[in-house]
Amino acid sequence: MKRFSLRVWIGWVLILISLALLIWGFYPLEQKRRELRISPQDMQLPAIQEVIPHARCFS
Amino acid sequence: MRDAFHRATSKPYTKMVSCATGLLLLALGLLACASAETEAPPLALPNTATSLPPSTPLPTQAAQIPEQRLLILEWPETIRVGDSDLILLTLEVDAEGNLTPTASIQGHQVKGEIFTVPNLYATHFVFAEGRLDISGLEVKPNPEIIESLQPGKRVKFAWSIRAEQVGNYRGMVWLHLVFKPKSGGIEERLALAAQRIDIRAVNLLGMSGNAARWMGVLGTLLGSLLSFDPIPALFGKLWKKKNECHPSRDQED
Repeated sequence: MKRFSLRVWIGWVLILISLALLIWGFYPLEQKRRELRISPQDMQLPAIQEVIPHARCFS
Repeated sequence: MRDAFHRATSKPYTKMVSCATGLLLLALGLLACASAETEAPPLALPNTATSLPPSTPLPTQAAQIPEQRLLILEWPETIRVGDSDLILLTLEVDAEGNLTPTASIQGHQVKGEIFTVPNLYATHFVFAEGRLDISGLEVKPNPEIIESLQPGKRVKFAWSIRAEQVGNYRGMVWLHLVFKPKSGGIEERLALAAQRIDIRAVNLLGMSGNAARWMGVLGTLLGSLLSFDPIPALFGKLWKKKNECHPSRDQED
């Protein structure tokens, strides 16, 4: 009877450890999210005056 | 005696005079500064609203993409060693984007004036280029991905990452716009966003995610075999007891 209960005890410990491993292995990890608004002004080609500050002098 | 009296009276008098002149100079200095401060803004910022006559043509606008966009970056803060995860970069069309035409201010009245901004889609092929710069992690398919940007459509970039070792990994996610003129010519690049990401790779007692899962499955099976063995035995005992209680039934059967 004593040997039998020890075997059961070991089995339960094994199950608990295995469940902990499974939980760690399958637990969904946290995802981060960042949002940034982009206006049309940010998506424009640079004007000639921005590239060459004195462009008007040449024209 | 008289001289001594004069000296005694003249010292505070001169002190008072010098103090008064000092205060006067200080007050004059402060007044000068204050007047300079109050007068400075009109000089620094000319009133363009009043200076522009109604007939003045608006300054030429640079060609732009006539859409409000929303850039969404999603990444895992932590990953298990040996497992792969995704980094997603989406350039969404912002539904709430309110594109109001630029207004010109004349006096105190605001007049909305619609003028056409040159549309980049009409003159250029527009591409979005996403790039992931991170060292120490395996990145698939490529750190650089180029997608065509179409009006009103979203662009999505996905990178699969995998860590082989425990540690903290720091990287950058770049988004560039590439404008290629339809008429031919030199393409132009515009850096739209550069975002930093930090990813932590972890393990459990030196086990990777896959190893931990397999160990868990095997351990559960083995533990079940060891601990649930008495269940059939228990049922056997119950069966025996039942038979002892009704021995006639067994005999009949």
